[in-house]
Amino acid sequence: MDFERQIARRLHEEHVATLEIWSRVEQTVGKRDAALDALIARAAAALADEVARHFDFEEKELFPRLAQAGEGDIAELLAEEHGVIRGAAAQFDELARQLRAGSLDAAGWQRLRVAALELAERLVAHVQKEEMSLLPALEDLLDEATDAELALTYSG
Amino acid sequence: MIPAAGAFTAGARSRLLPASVPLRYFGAAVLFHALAWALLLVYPAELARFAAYGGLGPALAALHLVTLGVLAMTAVGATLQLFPIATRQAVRSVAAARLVWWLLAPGVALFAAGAASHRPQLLGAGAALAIAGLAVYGWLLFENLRRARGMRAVVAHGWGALAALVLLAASGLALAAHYEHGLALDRGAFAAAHLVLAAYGFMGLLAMGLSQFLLPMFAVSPAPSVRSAYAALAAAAAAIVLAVAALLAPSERLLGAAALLGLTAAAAHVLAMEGALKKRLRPQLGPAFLLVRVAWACLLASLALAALIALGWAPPGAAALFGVLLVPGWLLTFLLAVLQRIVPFLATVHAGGRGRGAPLVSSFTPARTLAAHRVLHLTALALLLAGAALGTEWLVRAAAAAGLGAALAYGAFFVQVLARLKED
Repeated sequence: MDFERQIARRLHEEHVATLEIWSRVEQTVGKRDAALDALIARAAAALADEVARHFDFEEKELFPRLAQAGEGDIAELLAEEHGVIRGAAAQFDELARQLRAGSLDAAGWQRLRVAALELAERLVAHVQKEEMSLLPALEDLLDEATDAELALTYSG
Repeated sequence: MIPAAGAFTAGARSRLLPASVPLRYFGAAVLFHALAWALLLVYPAELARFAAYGGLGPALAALHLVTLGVLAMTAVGATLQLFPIATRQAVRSVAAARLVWWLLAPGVALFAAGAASHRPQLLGAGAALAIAGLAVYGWLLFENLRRARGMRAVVAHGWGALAALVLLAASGLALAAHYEHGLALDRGAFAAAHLVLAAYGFMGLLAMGLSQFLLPMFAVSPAPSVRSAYAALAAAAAAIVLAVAALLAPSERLLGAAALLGLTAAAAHVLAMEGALKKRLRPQLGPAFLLVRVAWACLLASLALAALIALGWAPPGAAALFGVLLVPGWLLTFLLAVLQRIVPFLATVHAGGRGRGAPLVSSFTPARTLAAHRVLHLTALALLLAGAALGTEWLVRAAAAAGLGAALAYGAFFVQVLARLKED
């Protein structure tokens, strides 16, 4: 999808990056090897950044604008999904940390696998909803000046 | 950083309809789907008779249970929810969106009862109710498209579908008046034009348009280019206009040209969609896409066969085969594929709207039930194609039995999703 607003383009690019990494996790998580361990470490780091920066920005700057434009229940649904993803991400991050430290047993590995698959599905569904509802709405809601200001805030 | 539940919703006028609005349409479609196959199971010989001679009877009833009861019913329910997302405009009136169902569902039931029992007055009353429902829907669609922003290609397909809806309703009323009041018209030509407007026009253009954003969403891929979407739409619209003119003229050569132009449009659409799907970010497409591809194959085959029929190169009895490729092959298969992704997705959105976060879509997708449906539906389609091609009654009956099984499996899927939504 082509977006005119800088902030929509930026979020879209991050969505694509998220989908790429989590699709790979989803495809490979069944077979444990060194490459998978590295991928899990990358996914955990990317997710921590996504949750801290991308989610916070949307909740602080974008969802209130969505609500003001009469899309409150969509904003609320997306915010709720952020909450659920944050919970799942915290669990995944803890298990990934144990994996890096070499202290993850077989039961822990199984929990990590389940957490990874759940996160992959949740992230894909969440991105689909944002691509369908949030980003197109931003094209209408933001004028050029506000868009530039938000892009600057997000970069900073 | 998470806002409190309800913090955003005060005074919101949302594009998300109450779950009961789209789901009532999907529920009615599930019921009419089973009734259509049941009717064919009881009267298998009617398929060949209807394809050859037309007229009232169980085959006309079964056809309209599928076209009006399943295809139009689902299209109305799905587009009432999906067009507001695509066009960034809320539905003009939720009450009107509910009213359409109260007109359309009894209208389909009366129409089918009247057709099956050879009672034109009952059929006429059903047609009037169904057309009244479609008129209200047409107004809702018009209001949505008029104020639409974004997704220009989807909106353009919506306008094409709306124009076809107006013409198919007019031709449908004329046919009902022919049966009920003896209105003089060329029934064969009007019925064929009505079929073209309904199947390739209203339903076909809606399917092409909504595919532009639904299939990429399911596959997590980019959408096809707007240019390719407009090119396919222009060719499809020209083919439909040409076909209707050729049927009313009548001109077999013009009809053949229309079919070939339609085939070009369909091929362009399928190639553009496949091109977009190739760029998907998730390797697995999911089993629903098997049905999507079978549906696309049937669409292309229906248009190739239409050209052969128009040019006089098709064997006798090809009309029944054409009808099977077009209605259960292309439209019904495509719709069931898309609906099996939309219903769980929509259910999780509504389950998540209560301050607890959306549940996983996979937890709302009964995979084994859908697998059973897939096998039964494809078996039914293959048997029906063979039965129509060979004119063999027992093959049609076996197809209807498998189709009824498929419809019941689909009903079980729908009930399971509803039960899961209620639990949540």
